[in-house]
Amino acid sequence: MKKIYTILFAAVLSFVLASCIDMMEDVKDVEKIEPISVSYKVCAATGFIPKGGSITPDPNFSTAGVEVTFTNVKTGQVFKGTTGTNSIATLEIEPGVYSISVTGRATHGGYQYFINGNVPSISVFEDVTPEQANTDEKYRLVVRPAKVGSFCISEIYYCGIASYYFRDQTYQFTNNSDEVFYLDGVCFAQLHPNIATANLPTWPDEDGDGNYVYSMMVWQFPGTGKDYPVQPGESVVVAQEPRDHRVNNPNSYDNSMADFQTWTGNASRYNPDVPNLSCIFYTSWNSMQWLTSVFGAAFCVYKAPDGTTVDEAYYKDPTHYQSEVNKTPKYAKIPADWILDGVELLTNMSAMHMKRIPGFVDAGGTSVEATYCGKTVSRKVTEKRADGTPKYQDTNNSTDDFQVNDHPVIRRNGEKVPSWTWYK
Amino acid sequence: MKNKIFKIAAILVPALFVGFQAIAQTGSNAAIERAKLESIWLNNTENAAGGMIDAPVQMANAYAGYDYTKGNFKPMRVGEEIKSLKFHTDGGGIYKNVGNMFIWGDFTYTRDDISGAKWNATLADPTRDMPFFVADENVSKWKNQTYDMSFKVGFPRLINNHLIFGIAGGYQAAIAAKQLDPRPLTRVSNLNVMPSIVWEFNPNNALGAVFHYTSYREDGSPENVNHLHDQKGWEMVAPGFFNDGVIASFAGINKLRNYNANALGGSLQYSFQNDNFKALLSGDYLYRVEDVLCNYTKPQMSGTVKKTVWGVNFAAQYNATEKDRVFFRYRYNHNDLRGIEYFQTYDNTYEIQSYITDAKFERSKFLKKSHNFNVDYLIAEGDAYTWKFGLNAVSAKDEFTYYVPETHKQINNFFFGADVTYNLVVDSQNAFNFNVNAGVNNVSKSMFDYGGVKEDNKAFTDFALMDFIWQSSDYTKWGFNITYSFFGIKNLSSLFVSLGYSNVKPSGDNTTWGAAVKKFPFLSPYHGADQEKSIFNKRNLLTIKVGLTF
Repeated sequence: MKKIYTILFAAVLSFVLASCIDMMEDVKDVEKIEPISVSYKVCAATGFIPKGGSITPDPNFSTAGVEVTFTNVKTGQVFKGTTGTNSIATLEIEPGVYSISVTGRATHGGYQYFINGNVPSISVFEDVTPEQANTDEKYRLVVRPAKVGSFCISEIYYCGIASYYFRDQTYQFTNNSDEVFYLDGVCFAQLHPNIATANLPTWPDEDGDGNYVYSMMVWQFPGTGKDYPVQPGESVVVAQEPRDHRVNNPNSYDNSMADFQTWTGNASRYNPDVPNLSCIFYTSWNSMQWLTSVFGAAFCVYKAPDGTTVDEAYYKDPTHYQSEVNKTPKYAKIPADWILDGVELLTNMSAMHMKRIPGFVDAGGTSVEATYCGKTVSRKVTEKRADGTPKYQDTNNSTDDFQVNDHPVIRRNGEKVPSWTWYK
Repeated sequence: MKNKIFKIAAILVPALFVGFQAIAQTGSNAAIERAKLESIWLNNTENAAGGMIDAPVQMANAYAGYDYTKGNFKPMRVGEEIKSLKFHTDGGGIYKNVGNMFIWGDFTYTRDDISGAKWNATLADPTRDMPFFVADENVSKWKNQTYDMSFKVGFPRLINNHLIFGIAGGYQAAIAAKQLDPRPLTRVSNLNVMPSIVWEFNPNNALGAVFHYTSYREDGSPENVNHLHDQKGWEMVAPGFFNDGVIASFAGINKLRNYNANALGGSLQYSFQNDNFKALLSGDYLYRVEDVLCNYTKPQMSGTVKKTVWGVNFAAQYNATEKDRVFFRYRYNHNDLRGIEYFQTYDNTYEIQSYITDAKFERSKFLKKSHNFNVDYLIAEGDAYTWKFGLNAVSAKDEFTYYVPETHKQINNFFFGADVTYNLVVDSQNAFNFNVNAGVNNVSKSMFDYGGVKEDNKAFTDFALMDFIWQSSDYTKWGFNITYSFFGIKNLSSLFVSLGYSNVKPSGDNTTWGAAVKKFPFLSPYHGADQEKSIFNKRNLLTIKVGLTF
């Protein structure tokens, strides 16, 4: 018996000491952190980008003069560099995990393009020389150029207000160009996942890399061609539930003058005066209301090219929706080339590494950084037209383009109301 | 053998937990104080075998106490008001009926009602050396309970009375509950085992060694009871370095902090003693590694702390006459803590679905060095004393470095204090013990070069900077303690009632914001408007004890 106790005691002691020593060995020779010099090449790629395959950048598409920003996801420290004529940017940074964004404009083939892209989370722990950047695909930042668009998301009120009130979520879109824009058939999509996360979905290889964004809910504006013109400086307001919410919650506001509502069938939350948007795709239906994350969802507006009709029937076709690997929920596939504008809303500005939409849709992200605080994000005004309507900043990077406001305001910068709206 | 075990248990258990059954002694509080001072091994080392050399008379005491602490001259995370209920007992000595073994036990229960604490939403003891935790800005109450017990046993001499084995151990269990969202329920367990050995060459010379093992666990996750209001939270990695976000029911920052520490170490001692002089020289070393995880199922590291503590002690006692006794103690303490941060990515591959460590780096260094001096002179009377005079001084250097972005903080302090105690024996049944003490702290150097990018974040301006100003404040300290002992109770040495008070007050040029801004110009953007306002007022501690000695 005594022997058994001795053996047992020796075994427990050995186990405790072994695990203790293992733990100590793990950190015995940990190196001290030192700054490093890294070079990355910005390449423009057009066409389908295969998954993990080699990308052939367009050699004639110059990306010189583009700003490359490394944001340390832990410390928030920002390092900026600009690409030279060889399209390579070199920066002195600290080792770490970074979100990298590329922001700039280029002219190619007579069109203006946004050269915006981002890598949500990349680990950089060693020096990278310009030679490595030139030859090794690992050090390329491949950007899909996007034509400069005219119709943009100009304000989003998503976080709700105390206490726990979210029925006043509102979205505003503005024609930011100098030409009339037709809203007919434009789609407004809530992108998957609903909340920014470091655990991004894995999509099947057949979709390649960054060729699509995926939506859990797609709303479509009415019209068949030119029924809903939006003049320069006019804006369109969409609300979850248009009404004077101050009746329900004195801290809220009045968005009863919204042009459209996103009604999901709840009779008690219906404003009969306001036209409904059509829901042409959904992953899961909530008949109470269309509630997007109060932490911040991601959205885009898109329009199919001429000749393609996107409607409810379109999304019945299995080639137009997709599921994550080893999962069953279906999400609408939205080709990158169709996107007019997109905004990434983050739980806070430190969560840039959790971006869920590709950089060519939005190279950055924006956030009110709290829930139920009644704040909104809206685009910054760069200039005013002669009629007093605003021109918004649109670099396709919402980190730079958006500001945080204390309260939501419908058409806060003097945007005009479209002629066809119901309440005029 | 069995009888011996029962005898040991019969004495150890009461000695550990109460001490009531220990054989009655004539010891008063002053006698216990003197006996502890004269036990050079027990008072200066972890070596339980050394208790056999000190061979203290049997003594025990138990008391119930109430501490009331108030004032804002404190680190930010410590409560502004703390009400503590305490029950404590310790006792032991040489027990002849178990082979002249040395046995000593200690038990303390503490219940703290804390209010006015900020910037801590994780740690039961925010003052411990741990830079990785979750912080919040709410002024909160905490309710903490701690059970702390320890023992020392020195076994009978072996090999011609030369060899002594000993063992010391301790176990601490604590629970800390924050009373305002985000609120963790933090649990702590801390186990220490210290086997020891002494080789007594002759009655004058002895050499000792201790092996030290610690296992420490702490676990807490701040949650919101009110789901309608998310809270702001900071994942701290060092002063001024953090990831901030929202603490919410889901999403938001990582809330959980699961601490798992192991420490190995040891110490060596040499003592010399003759009729009127004894001295002890010792050196100790402890290496502690503490992993901080923020996910149970998918091991995601918040960081690791690698801590090395070593020190050198010298203690001596000189009895000039039978009554005149001088005690000297010096300790150099070197506490080197390194913060290791991890870079991990989540591998979403179906088969893995876990965090993979891409790299880890040592990113921060906290170095504390101190020289501690104590000199006491007492005039012995019976088993106690009549007068005791003490001087103490501490020279401390506290440095913090964050390597990249380069940040450096340094504070050099010098504290000098003195105390006088008079033990007045009125008659055979009544005695008073009066103590007064005072000290002054001077900061000879204080600097904080912050290289981070979050200098306008509250966790820097209201937390890291405020702690720095507190650390770099000169202060004065004074206090007193009065104990009345009654010796007229049968089978007891004494019944005592004690009242103590201490006051710490900042002095020098850091008392107003204006002065602080002048000294630290980088504070100007944050507190330029509050020039006349005092930063800190003072901190008072009132202590009441009622107890017994045996």
